[in-house]
Amino acid sequence: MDTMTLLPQGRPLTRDDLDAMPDDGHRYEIIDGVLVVTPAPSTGHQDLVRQLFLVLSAACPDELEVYFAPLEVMLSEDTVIEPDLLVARSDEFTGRGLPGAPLLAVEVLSPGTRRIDLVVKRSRLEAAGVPSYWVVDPEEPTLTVWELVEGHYVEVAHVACQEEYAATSPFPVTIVPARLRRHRP
Amino acid sequence: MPWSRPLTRADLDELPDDGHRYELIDGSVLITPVPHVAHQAVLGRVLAALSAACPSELEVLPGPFNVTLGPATSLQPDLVVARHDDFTEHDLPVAPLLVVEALTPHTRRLDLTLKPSCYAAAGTASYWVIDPDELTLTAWELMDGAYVEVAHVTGNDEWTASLPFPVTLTPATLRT
Amino acid sequence: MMVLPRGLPLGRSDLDMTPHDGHRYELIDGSLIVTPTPPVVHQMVLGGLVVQLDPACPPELTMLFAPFNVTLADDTVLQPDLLVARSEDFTHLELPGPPLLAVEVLSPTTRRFDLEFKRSRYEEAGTASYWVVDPDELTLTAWDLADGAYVEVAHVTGDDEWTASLPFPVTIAPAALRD
Repeated sequence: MDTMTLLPQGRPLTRDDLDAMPDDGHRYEIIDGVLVVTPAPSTGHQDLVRQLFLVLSAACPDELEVYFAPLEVMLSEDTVIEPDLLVARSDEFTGRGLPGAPLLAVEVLSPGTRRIDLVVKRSRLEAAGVPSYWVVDPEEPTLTVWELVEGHYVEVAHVACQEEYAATSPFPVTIVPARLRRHRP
Repeated sequence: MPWSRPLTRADLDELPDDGHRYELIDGSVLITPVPHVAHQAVLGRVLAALSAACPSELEVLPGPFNVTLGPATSLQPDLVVARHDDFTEHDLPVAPLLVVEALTPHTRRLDLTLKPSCYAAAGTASYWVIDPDELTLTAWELMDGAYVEVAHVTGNDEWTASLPFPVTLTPATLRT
Repeated sequence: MMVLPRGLPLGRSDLDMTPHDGHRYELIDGSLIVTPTPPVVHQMVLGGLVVQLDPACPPELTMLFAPFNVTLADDTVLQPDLLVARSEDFTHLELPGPPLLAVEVLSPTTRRFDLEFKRSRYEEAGTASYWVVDPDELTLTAWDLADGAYVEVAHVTGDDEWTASLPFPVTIAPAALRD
């Protein structure tokens, strides 16, 4: 008879528990020991991620590295996230992922992840001391940028469509939201 | 974690009544629908009644939390009474004084056979099962290591338990 | 664990059968949120709330504690620690719509989710009142919906008493929640 293994009992989930999660196209993350499973993103979402990755990579200095998901960022024993994009020092990555706070985490919103990305993740990244957090909203599209100031995120930019954002953190790069979306007929 | 299909009601119905179902609790999980209104409403009333009569050194707690009966056995009873000092931050690592389960169609057989056998083996003095639809309460007490039925209460009948402490219950009042 | 459909948004039916393992399985905007079994003090305080609310609850309303499904949308099924709703609004299996009151008792794990994330979702669904109880600090914070947004109406600590008017008149003393 088929049986299933229990999730671990009586304790918050940890990084090791993520190892046992299935490879089914969903994203599995743990935030404060809570398992968060989000559906696989849409093509449009991935287009935006790819375009932003290309822009960031082109401007990225040698000592830093840009990655897109899935790559595990372990902010603590009970918090492992897979941001859509991240930037960190090259020498900080292990074979498994990033064992600590990145310099930049980026999330492109999906209808199902808006609230998680804008509320829970932003709060958790702030608590982890991630210096910069960007959120791209595919509608329009827009880019919102928060930077850590004395331990709290301050919104430093909100640009839409053809507006330009000249970032300085984690390195100098100019982002134009409208250029993140390739025109489709 | 093996990725297999969810158990269905049909699977539960096919399980043999031979005691090997013990393995379902030793490291395996049952998939059951979330309890329905009557189930939760009845538990609320029982919780309130037990709490009102509960002496200070004991605690009445609603589930879910872990009652750890062994290295691979962790149960989540609907309601529990235990000594306040026996709880850890995260679980109850000893047998409770009383376990209360409210039946659901999917857990009926477990609640009436397999679970009491686990609780009895661990030395749980009292075990009550409530049928939230029929409004009946059945109570067992441990005698010489096995449960003996000490009450089967229906409708407007009153029953005064002596274990784990004196408390009077009337099944018909468990739901408005 | 349940089998999740490959690469598709998660919907209500994916929650139909959840493991009976003490974890809480919720669906919020199509994402599955699985919370570990709560600490004992969480259940103590929840029990205390039930004891204080139950006698004051009028017959036309029903108070339930978790686990019980509150279905706010096809992609959102929550299991608040405690809820109050009109008795007639329940189906046999769930509450198909916002409750009058949703209560979350915090635990270290769920703090971040309860304080903003879930509050935001309940607010959006039109849940008239939302309470958060800290079982360690023994505080209760209450919000009521006003023009579609939550306004904090109480923050009660220690031996202070608060008399709620929604969803029904009841006096709560946080310090008594762990008696």
